[in-house]
Amino acid sequence: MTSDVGRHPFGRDTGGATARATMDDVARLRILRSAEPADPRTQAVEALHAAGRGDEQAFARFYDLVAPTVFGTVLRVVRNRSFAEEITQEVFVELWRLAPRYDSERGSPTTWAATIAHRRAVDRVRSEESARARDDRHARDVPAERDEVAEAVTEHAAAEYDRARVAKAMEQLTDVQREAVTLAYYGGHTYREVASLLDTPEGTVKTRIRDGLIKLRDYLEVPA
Amino acid sequence: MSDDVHHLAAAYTLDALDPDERAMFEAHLDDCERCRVEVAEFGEVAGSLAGAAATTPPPAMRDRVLAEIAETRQDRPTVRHLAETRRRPRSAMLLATAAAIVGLIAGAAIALVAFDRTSDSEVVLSAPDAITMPLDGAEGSVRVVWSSELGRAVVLGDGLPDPGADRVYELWSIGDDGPVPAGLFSPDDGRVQTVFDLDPNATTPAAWGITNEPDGGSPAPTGDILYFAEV
Repeated sequence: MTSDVGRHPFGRDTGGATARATMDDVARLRILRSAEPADPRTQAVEALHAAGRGDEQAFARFYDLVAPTVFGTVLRVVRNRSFAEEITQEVFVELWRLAPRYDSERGSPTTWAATIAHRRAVDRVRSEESARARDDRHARDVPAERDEVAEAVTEHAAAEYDRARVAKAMEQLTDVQREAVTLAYYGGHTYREVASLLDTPEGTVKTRIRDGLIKLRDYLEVPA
Repeated sequence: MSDDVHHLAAAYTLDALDPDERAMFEAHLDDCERCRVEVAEFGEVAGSLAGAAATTPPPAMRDRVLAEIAETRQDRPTVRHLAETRRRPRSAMLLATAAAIVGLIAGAAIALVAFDRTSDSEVVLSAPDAITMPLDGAEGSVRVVWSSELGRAVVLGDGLPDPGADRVYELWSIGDDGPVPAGLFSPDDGRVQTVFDLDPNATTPAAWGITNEPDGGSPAPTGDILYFAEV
């Protein structure tokens, strides 16, 4: 594609064949897309809107769609299963409370739920009191901790697809960018903490996180 | 300093700011559309990172959650209004009056304020059928996001060279009928974020291109294609 830059494919004689082939591809894609079963995002939006009007059964459907993402994110950050369960429950009560305010124009329901879950998890971990609580539980649970995380990983096909896609996107990052993004998001660390962990200037870490997210965004955004 | 604030969007989205910085950045977000767009985009990335960590919760949690929400009152849908009042503090009296009015015409008021805070480009970026194409080019980065349903496109760019005196960049949507002018733009300090209404008679774009053209644009491209992507 890069080879096209600088050339002039606008002319009908050279550009026509290419454009027609591309249009066929577009048409084929459309057919594939319309044949897909009900899109989970649409299902989640409908369930969440109904939940926002106080429909508890709709909230249960919403729970089924996003619970693995919420629980998995919280578990990655706090590392401890019983603490993660406690926070996940709090998150869902918060999602129920906030459901009337959800605006589908501002992001998918899964992203919305993940944002609230991640924020809650890092805030709980960072608050002094829960840091102490986590350390206590952490000390008790250390032998099982790794296995718990590994065994509990959901086997949903959709999650498998997400994992593969994100793993591929992560390959686009340099090692230091990937390290900074991972420590910040999954580790739940501030960029200052990441800088201290890596013994690297704060500005450098901030830039690595930013450049890393830009690469992930550009990679993940391109329609599959 | 202000440039520093813009660059916190990524760390903010990953919840990687200290409480002070987070509060400062959130105040900044109220006034900076560019950062709101970035936070929304990075938020989708964070959502993917979250999805990749998906883990089945214990089955008993579902019943516990449903039991607890059955006894929990939901918030009223007024978040936009609260954000507005925080931005423009007024006297308590005025606030009370405003709140009463908002209460009376809640639906309409919320819709209006929501509209007020959601810019044209944000509407396109979050359209359900929005498609994003990073364009290949020599310098900086450019993306085109367009929605066929809305008939609009947004050009987002960073690090673009100045087009030169009396010159502009022109965006072309390229379909079966060849290139159709989609709009003109000039980056500000290398950055651009502009919304264009697409020609409703133009065929579906199979590619996007950007050329450098004289001020006022050209009906057909005269310059080299500086940025290009096939859909």
